[in-house]
Amino acid sequence: METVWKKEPLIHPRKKLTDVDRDICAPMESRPSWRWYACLAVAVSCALVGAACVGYQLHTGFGVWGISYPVGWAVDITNFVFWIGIGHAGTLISAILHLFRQRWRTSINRSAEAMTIFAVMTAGIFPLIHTGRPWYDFWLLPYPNERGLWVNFRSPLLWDVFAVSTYFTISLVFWYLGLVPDLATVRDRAKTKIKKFIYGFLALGWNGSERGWKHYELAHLILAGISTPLVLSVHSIVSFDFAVSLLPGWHTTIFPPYFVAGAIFSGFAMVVTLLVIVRKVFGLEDYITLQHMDNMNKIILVTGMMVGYAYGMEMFTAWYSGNEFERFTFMNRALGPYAWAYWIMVSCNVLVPQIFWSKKLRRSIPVMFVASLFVNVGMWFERFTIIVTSLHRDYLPSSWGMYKPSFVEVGVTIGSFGFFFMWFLLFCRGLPTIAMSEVKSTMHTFLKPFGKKKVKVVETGEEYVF
Amino acid sequence: MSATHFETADQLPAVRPLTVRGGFRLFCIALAVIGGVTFFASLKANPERAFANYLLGFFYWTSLSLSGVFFLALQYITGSTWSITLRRIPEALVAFLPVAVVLFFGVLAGSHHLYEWAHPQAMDVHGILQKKAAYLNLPFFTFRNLSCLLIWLVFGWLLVRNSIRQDETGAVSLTKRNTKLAAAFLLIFALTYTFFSVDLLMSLEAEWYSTIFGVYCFAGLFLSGIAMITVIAVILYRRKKFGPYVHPDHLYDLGKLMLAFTVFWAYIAFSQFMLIWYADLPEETFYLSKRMIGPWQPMAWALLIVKFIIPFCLLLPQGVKRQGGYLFGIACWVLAAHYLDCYWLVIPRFAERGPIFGMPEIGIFVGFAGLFGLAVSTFLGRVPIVPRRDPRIMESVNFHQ
Amino acid sequence: MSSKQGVVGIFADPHELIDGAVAARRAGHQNLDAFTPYPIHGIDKVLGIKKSWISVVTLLFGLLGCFGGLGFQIWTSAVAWPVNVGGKPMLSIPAFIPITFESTILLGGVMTFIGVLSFCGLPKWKGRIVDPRVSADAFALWVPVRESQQISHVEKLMKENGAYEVRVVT
Repeated sequence: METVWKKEPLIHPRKKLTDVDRDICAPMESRPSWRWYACLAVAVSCALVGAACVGYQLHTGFGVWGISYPVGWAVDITNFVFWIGIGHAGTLISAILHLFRQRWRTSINRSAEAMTIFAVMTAGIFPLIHTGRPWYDFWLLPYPNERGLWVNFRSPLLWDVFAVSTYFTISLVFWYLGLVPDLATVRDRAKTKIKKFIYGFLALGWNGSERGWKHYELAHLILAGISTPLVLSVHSIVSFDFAVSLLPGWHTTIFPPYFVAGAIFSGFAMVVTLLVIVRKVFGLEDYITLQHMDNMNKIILVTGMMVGYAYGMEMFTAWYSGNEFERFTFMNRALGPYAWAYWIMVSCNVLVPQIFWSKKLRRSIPVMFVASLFVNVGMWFERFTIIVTSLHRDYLPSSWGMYKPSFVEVGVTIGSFGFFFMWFLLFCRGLPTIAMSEVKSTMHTFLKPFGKKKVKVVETGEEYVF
Repeated sequence: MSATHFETADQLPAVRPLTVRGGFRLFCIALAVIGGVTFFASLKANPERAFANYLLGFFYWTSLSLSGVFFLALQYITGSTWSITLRRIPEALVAFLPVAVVLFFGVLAGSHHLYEWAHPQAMDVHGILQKKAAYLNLPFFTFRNLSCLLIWLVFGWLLVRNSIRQDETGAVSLTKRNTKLAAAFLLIFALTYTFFSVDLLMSLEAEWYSTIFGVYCFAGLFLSGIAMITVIAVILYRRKKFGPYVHPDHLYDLGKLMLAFTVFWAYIAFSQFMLIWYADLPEETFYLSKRMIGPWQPMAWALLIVKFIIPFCLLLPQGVKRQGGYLFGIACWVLAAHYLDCYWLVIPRFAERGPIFGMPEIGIFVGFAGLFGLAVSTFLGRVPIVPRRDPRIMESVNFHQ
Repeated sequence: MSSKQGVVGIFADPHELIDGAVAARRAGHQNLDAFTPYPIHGIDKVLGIKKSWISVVTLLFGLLGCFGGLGFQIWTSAVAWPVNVGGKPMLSIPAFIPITFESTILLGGVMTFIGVLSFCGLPKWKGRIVDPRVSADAFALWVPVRESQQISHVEKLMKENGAYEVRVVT
């Protein structure tokens, strides 16, 4: 009988500290391959399509979108919620897993945090263009205008402005703080003058002093601590946009935790999609191991089930309420004209992740790649279902209607994907995709003191700054 | 930092079951007797009040016991190692579950006093209730909740049995089996506990509904569960029952969880309150206005301060979470605050004129506490206090921040 | 702190560095520092590094953000220009909670970042780092020395504890 617990190492056990630097800095120190250029070209073209559509919309007017009465929010807000949600996995990995000392996160947090920042940037586009006249977007800020009026602090749309901008700022600060020691590594490895200058500037003169590390570690812990409730608050506030209304299908008390679970779910799926590619293209399989992917797939399974729980509770409570409007809305979701969107959502989000009960499938790269794409499709349709099906048939049957996206909305959606991937591709080449100093700190158990060495003594008169 | 560092599991000292003093047992039995006497005494005077407090005590202590199963399952599923040396405490909480199954019949006996939907004549005249009749009826209610309790009992029993078997064999396979059981349990738990709380508490106000209610009750369950584990852990730690197995770093993690779930409870409570307040729909607001406006207003404010603000502020500083006595105080406070929360959910339905607190409230509640203490101490007196042969025990013993 | 005299020992293993630091402290040296690719836990006591007060910065600015954010909303919505929107009360505290929370986090978080930079004396582009290898796999111990006679003693101490390179800064 087996009585010894076998533990898998976090990264490949034969790696040394300098190997970490060499392997992770490799993409930044070599010329990009044609594949990278090809991907970038696709991403940039998609982004340009989106930009062209936005330009057309701004020039011609809002009428070029498919939204109209009664469906005033549709693909644009779906995209906003979708991209904000994608960002949540980054903060979850770096903050919550940090607090729970899940050390496997060190290999994936950097790229997940980068993803957060790019996803929030992408998400921010939608409400800004959805105002119709983006040159007046500064009206969203609380400043005393010429009539002395203030913004309406009781509106959830304004809460969004604060939540999203705080989320972006804190994620950026957290990410950058984590990058500083790694930027110092890149600076010290740099061969060319221009690289030395750029990374030297970004590294802020970090010298690895233990006094610095002491402050750094505490600050990192504090930022992790405050990011945890922050990430809960952001998607909760996004859910308030809907849930404070009176509309059946929007107004339900489970929305805040349900949205947060869905956000983490879709975010992890996006992390899996990206990392499957990154680890392959940049040869980082020894750092982002199957164990990491396995863990992420477990989280996808768990959060997928939470989302499933929320779908079930919504249905049950709609029936239990005895309220005929509630009951109708949910019947209409499952059986009405948008039933296809509802069933795409249920099958992608609840059924597909069930394959991850099997350890073999959790560790199969092709399977998880396809499953993660399905999850993202499912989560996009979740937001679409919530927004459109609730709006298109509300209390008055005389004002019922249907919604169909115009080519402009489709173009902007494609553009948002291009914009996001463009940033991510640039990040992969320009910054270390794995937190080197954190990975090294998980390795120190492997260090063994070595025997007698020759000692070299150097006399120096140079000035050092300590 | 602990004083000693162990290299191999062979160096770990042997462990024995706890010797529970006879005095404690007598005390628990006395509490249980007090509970029984006050219940039957107040049954005559005011059956509604007696059963309301019975329901409150039943829900509170059953949830606490269930939190033991949940805590175990969570630790297995996340592969957490820090908590292994403490594992006998959540296992001991499970020991109350068989008692809870029996006590559930008390709730059934009082269903006519407790639930409006249990009166056939009320169902006939009440339009909304008629629509819910397929769900809210006594046979289905009994079946649902009895099956919930039995399912939890089976899972709790299996998890604990495998753990105790491991004390002899030290087999890795038992941990793996428990991990699988934990996954199945968590899945079932989410649904069953939701229906349990909807049935027992939400249907007290049969017209009211809130999709988040199950999550709200779960937040309370886990928060109070961690608090109870902390209370027992600190008592045993301070009496040096754990030897080198438990040190302040373990307590620190309990404190951290307590802080996290204090915030989680506040988040869920705020989500529910804010959405109902903002939408202002009469079919939802009546529940909260009964509990927040008028005679119950001070109670609502007290809940905010007692269950969130005070424990949050007290648990925020880093160093204090390592001090057993301090943590013990806060954990007791949290348990009391959870009582307040359950009280606020149950009693306003029966006392619209304002909070009532007297002998029935105290007596019936401590009666449950006595039975709970008896079950827990009996368990701890039978099995070794630490699962010493858990394959990952070393990681837990040498666990540091 | 710029030019000072002292000795830098470069180690391959953090445990050796800790031994060296302990020995140097026993010999009565003060103001030691170490330069490492990642934080070495437990070394702060050996080097005599004091507690970091960053958490106080976070707390104070967090409180400022909390009360400032809440106060600003109350002032604009209920005092400066009260406008009835949707029949909600002017003083809608529940509706002010989300932004109060966000402003707490925003101010607390940003000031934590600024605080850690200023506590570490960053940015500091002009100085030189002790050795480019300390950001890769080297662990450097810096022992400042007041009198030149002590240098050889510290040098010896470094070598004894396993430094593979010792530099004397004069």
